[in-house]
Amino acid sequence: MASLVTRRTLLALGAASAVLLVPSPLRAALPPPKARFGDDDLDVIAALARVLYGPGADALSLRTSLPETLGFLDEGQQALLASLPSTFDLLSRALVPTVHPFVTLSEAQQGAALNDWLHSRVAFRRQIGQALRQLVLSHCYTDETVYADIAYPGPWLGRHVLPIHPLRFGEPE
Amino acid sequence: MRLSGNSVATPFARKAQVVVVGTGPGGSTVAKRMAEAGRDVVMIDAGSYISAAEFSQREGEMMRKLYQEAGLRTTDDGSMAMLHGRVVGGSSVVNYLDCFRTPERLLYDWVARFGLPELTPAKMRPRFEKIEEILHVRKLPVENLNLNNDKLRRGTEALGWEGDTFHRNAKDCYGSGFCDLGCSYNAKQSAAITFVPLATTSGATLLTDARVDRVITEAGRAIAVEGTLLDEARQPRGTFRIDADVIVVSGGAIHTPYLLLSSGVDDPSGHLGQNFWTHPGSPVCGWYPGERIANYEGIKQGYYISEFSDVLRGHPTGVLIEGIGAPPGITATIFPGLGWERQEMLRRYNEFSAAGLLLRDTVPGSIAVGKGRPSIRWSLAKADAWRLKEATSRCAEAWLAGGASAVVTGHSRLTMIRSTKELRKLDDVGWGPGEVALFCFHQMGTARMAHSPAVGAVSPTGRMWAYQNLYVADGSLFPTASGVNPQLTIYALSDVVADGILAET
Repeated sequence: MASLVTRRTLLALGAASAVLLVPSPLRAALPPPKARFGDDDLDVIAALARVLYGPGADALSLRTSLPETLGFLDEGQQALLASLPSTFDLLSRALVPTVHPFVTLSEAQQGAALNDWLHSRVAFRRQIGQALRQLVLSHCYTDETVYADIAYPGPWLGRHVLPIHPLRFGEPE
Repeated sequence: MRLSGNSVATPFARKAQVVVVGTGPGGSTVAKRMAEAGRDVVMIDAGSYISAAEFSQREGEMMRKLYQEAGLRTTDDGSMAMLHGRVVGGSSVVNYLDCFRTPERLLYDWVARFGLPELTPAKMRPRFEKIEEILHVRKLPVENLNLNNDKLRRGTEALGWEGDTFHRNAKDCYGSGFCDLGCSYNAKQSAAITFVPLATTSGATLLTDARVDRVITEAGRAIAVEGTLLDEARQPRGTFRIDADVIVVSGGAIHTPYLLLSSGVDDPSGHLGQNFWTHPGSPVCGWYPGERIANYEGIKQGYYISEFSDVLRGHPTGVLIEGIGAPPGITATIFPGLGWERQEMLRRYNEFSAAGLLLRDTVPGSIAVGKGRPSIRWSLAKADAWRLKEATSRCAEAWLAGGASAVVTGHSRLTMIRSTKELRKLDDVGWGPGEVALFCFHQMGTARMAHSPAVGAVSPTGRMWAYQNLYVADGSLFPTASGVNPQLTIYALSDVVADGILAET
């Protein structure tokens, strides 16, 4: 695996060293981490959302909600998550040189590529794939424009006027 | 008095008799006891003080504001999500209110194996009684179970298994169903509205939005804490230092060892950061086509199956199965598939019941200092993976017995079980990292208490062995995994530590 990846390739691609999931022989070859998503990262995330969420993904507010979440994280975790999209994209190409940048693939190819990561026999690939999946999906389904589609009523506040009767509880034992 | 790192003058400096780092069940218990004893106490929390009116019940916003790393923290190998609070009151603000006294057989084990005579059931009972009174702990009547938990109860009873409703720390609960996003009605009796105000009304000072970066030690004594004041956007805006006669670290089982190790404290035991127990859990969902279960409505966590618990029943599987409600963002990460396939499943969100497995892990991980973050070294041991499979199988049986048409597990490949005969499918699916969704709500054990540094990181009074005045009071103290929801045990062990501090300093 490592033999397919040269230090020069990774440096040229500019991947991030904070991605702890990558085995140390690969990680050591990577340049310093970053603290924010760049436009390229957000393009990868948008493409992943189209695959993971499906139709309607482009209407979701991931380009604002994901960077906002990053602002709430401590520095180390920021670096880790901010590096995930580029690492996913760059290692895809480094590990399989015939693969093109993720965003240029067709949707079917993107789905196949992502599935390859999610179900890889190699643990670190599977884990990076799952981490991205969690990151993207958790933000897709906290976007309140999705709620109507899944018949989730959202916050109770505003739907119920207090005071109402609280539930009754027993006495201490 | 309450101060915020958002607004105090910087650099901020103060002297106190006792400084407590962290305001969850552990830190707030010690702070209250010290303040009531007349000591000058400063409590510090990296999180904000958030009042009931600010709990918006909006998942995205509240996950960012209330959870460490916005709920996106995982083990280093990415295999398990680590969910815990970063707010005044700690995880007691975002938990599901489940209250178990430490099981007696576990207390006897801790007494015998770790030399902790203060932890006998007889000595712990008055502590629990006092804590339960403050927290208003009551048993949930069966008639208050939501449909999700009632389905689990019916399945359990149909199978003749043992289960029960939870004891919960709630007062005037409306059953709004947003416990995990903070209680908008102050019904949940979290540390933030019980022990923390009891400490401040006794004179303690609360400093919020202030991240402690290091504990300063000198010649066998801890002398101060230093850290970073955070603005409203959680960006650094200044520094602070609190000098104190006694320092108590209560940052939880991840941040306590991280802070102490990154501060370079002397740990002759070698146990600090070791013995990291997690109660790894995986979701198991029942499917009731055409029926509105809405697992997120009402009291989300109301019923548990104790039949397979080792600490409650002596069963070798060692799992509690607990009904649970999951908001959409978390549910979406559990359901497998891509694109429209997942959308179709999520459109049936209301038809799914949900339970979480709380496995008492047998092989611990560890916490170390990573690059600007705690390094969480843990992965599911093979023996525990086998037990997780057994637990999943039992939970699936309960849903099927409760009338579910099918059961969906937390695997990354759709695993649907339609009958008990199909439980054998669980033999063919993977249980390795990334193959099944794992969640950890309980972190324990990284500074375990014991009679000797050969066995644990701190003394039976929670004191670091190499220091006269440096204590730990939180879930780190657990000698082993508790096997039940840990909040009452954290309060009670921290009460033991408070006695120790008052006697020793």
